[in-house]
Amino acid sequence: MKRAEPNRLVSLMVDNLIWLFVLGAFIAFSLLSDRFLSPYNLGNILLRSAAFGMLVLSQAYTFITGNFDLSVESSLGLTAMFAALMLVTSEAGGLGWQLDPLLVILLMLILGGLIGLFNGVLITKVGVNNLLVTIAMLFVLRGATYGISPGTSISFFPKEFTWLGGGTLARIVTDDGNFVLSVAGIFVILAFLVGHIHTRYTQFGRNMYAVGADADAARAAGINVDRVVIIVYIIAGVCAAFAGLLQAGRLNAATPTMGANLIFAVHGAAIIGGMSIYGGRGNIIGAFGGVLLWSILDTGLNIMGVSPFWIDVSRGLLLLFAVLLDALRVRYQHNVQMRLALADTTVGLGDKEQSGG
Amino acid sequence: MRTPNRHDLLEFLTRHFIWVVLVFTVVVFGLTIKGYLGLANIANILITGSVLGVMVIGQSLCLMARKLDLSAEGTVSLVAVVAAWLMLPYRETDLAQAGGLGVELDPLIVIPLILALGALIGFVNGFMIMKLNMNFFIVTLAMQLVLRGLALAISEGAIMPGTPAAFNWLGGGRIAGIPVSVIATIGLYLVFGFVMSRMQFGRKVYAVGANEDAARASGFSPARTVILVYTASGFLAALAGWMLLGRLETSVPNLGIGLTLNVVAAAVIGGVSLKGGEGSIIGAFAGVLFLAMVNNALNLMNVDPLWVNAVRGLIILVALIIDAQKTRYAGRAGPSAPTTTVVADADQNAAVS
Repeated sequence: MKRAEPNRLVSLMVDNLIWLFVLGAFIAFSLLSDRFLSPYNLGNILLRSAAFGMLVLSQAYTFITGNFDLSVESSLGLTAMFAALMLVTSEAGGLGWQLDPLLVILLMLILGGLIGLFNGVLITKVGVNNLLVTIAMLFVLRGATYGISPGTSISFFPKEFTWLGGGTLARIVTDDGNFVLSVAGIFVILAFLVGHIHTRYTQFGRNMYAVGADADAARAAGINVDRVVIIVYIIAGVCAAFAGLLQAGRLNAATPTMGANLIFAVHGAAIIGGMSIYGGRGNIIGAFGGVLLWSILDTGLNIMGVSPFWIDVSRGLLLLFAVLLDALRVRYQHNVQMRLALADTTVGLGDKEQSGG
Repeated sequence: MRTPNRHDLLEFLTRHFIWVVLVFTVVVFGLTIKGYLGLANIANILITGSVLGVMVIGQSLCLMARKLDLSAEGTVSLVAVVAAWLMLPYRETDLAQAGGLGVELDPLIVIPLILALGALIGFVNGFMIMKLNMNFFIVTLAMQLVLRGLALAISEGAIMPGTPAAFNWLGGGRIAGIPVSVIATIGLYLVFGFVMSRMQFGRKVYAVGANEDAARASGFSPARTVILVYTASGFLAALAGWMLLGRLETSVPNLGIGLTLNVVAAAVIGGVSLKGGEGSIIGAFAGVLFLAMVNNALNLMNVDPLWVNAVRGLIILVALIIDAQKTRYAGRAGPSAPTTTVVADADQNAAVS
């Protein structure tokens, strides 16, 4: 009576729905606009998604453990401003220290990590709600960014500092324009790959999923939940600092508003990529699909000359469409599992898989 | 009827801890800031708190049902733009200033229209979440993007100044010297406090928030309840938009941006849990008062405007840390883990006392 086997191909597609979206959006924009497939634009998609991608990566880490870190957008701004102050001359608005760029990068990553550590300790050891701590930190860090800034933007950084965010690995000249292989694009891909391997194939990664699925059960199984969560927040903070580095490098400037109001878009990309805000679900590579989708929509709509006012509308509508398909996916998987369960047992008590809402 | 003992008092204090924090805040600010407790300043606190307060009611309902409504700030923007667009006379856009569509509708037509628009937006949210099984977080996030985009598209990013006096009454008017917005907000808190603690609907919301499957099993439709909650949230957001536009008398397309985080913070500081099924409308009101008082104090203390956000965040953070200690104490106290009925009873007590 094992006729309940689900269709393999359909299952594979359903599990990797995000990549279908990415492919669909890519093909749609290629057909709608002849400039979308230009070498310059293809390079641009990756470059523009770099800083945003690092924020999504930070969120993916916290999501897996069932936590939030809303403060990352402000960490991005603060670390970038912090670095800018130490890099440039006092005439240009800095402190005039003009420290070595590599030292500054190290310091800003440490600052990001410390912010994460602070968040993690407040959440686990002091017991403050994770969403609220990070909302409060979002205000504190953004405020501090304004506070330490000269009130305006700071620009013109040394080459070593902007290399990661604005550097070029290769420039391929074609008739259609130049394809620019950016350092930032490669970096963000590598970061997601490392993140994927770290969360999927190491003991720590498995612990993260266990904590996200059920923190009490994980604790009972002997996992040091607090330690896992604190480390995840530190990683998130460091990712945010990298995002600051990439953004400041690409713009060759740091402004006090950098990263502001990004956080919901970051969550949107992560969740479209299959992460769940309740933890224990999704994978890092899927989240990268979410980043790509977001970036393709952004550049695609831009290139088609859609008014910036309507870009938000279409983004929102596409997001809604994606969630609708996701809801159908969850229902499909649920049905498949029900069928399997019914085939295995004569009683047929279904699983307790939560549906999307 | 047991006689109250020391333990009961402690439990009472921890359950209504936000009020203790509030009294403490009043005392500290009252003693350190000159004129803080003056009548004019108290009115100021309440006026600026009223828009936040109206939005917190809607958000609290959603949180109690274990949902979130990130779209509310988008509703505020859209409703304000649509209202100004329908009421103002036409004029060419210049210097980022625009006029309306040119239909110059009467405020008495526009007001019901925008309230209905808000309710409709909420209904659509609820419908998508409950009937189409879509993730509430993304649905309301996407809705926020759509609404804000529409607001920008309609207004072409320009401000529309000069809304009519009849429309501004809610946001800027006074009855016997008391601001209308404050009276309206307090009225809404009384109504919703009553609904949530005394009426069947309130119990259903708590039940859905505590456990949706159990609620379904007990024989009522969570879908209906949640759709109603979102409809109410949309309606209240539209009301807040009306209030805010009435106070400013100018439609700004970015109106309400970043409000959501403040709204959620106020609700949760007031004891409404993100995990659903907990908290009370009265508690949320305390959260609103707390945030409004802190904002006002920061203004009066002449904190460097560049640092205001940082200081406000720090104060919220300290309140949260104190609040966490309370939760910890409540957890240690043992068996009084809040179940749906306990919470509902507590609300009744709060409403009575």
